[in-house]
Amino acid sequence: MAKPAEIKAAMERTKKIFSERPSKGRATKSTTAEMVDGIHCRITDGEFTMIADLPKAMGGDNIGPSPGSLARAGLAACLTGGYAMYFAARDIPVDHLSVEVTADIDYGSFHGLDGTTAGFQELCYTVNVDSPADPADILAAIEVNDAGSIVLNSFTKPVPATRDVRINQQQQDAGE
Amino acid sequence: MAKPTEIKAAMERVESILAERPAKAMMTKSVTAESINGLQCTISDGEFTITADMPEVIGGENTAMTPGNIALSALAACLNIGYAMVFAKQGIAIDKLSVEVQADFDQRAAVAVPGVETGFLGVRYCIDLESAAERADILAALDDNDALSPVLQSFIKPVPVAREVYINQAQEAAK
Repeated sequence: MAKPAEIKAAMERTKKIFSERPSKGRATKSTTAEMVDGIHCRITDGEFTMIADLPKAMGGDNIGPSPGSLARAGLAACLTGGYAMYFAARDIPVDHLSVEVTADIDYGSFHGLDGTTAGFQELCYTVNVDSPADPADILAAIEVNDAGSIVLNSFTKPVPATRDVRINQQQQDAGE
Repeated sequence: MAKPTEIKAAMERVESILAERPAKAMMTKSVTAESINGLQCTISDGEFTITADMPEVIGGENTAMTPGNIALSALAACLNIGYAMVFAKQGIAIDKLSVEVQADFDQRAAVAVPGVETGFLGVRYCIDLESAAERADILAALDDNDALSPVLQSFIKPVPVAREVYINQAQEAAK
């Protein structure tokens, strides 16, 4: 288990490297979802794997979290991990830390019903911290994290998206 | 395993219910992440629990997906599942389907290097599928899904976000 002092040292080391060599900070990450059975899919990021599915009422088998739940999980984890980093970096001791993320969504939008808007209507996150530190210091650390949080800012700002489609690519390759 | 005909029937049943009672479609869903060891946390939606961690270089232990990759996984899964549902609904038979999602970002933002743009700077998704159906029908189904995809639309359009902070709330409640 990494201790706060080790996390702080790792952050300082990383910030120094990124400040001296900005190109080191730029990264591209990928994950792949592959249809397995029905509509459930296996997601792999190269090292780790998990399953996503939908409830039975929506045609799934309910054997894994839904994509929407994973999106909220990504945000909740990004905030929780980020706060833990900044609390360690600022020597703020923490006894308990949790973040609840709630999302309002209109499922009618997924079915194209009139008057609906696709995507989350609103996100709300609730941070619970138990700490003997000054609340002002805790809030300042939360502010700094939120300003740089990669997943949070991917929801609050529009992200350009591009699509590439390959149909029967393997069959074509095999036929060439 | 749900077959395409069962998926189609489920979609039509849900659409019928929501068309008659739109209020049924409005939902609030939540997950809770809890810090456990260092930068590791568990995230639960009440039914399923996953773990997230950070790479060792920034103080984590690399025991699980990063939060960023979980978010990308959500997008890849949403597109993959959405396509499977739309193909089932439109009677398009699929032999293979996968979606790779890539995101560019600048890690300097996460350690508060000033003047750095944060969030995903761009995402690319590559759909790889095998099907005997007409290419035009497949592309039309992909377009239909993308326009309605909850996670894709949550990334490409800004979502209003609110925050609440409770400090020592549990301790105060116990007093």
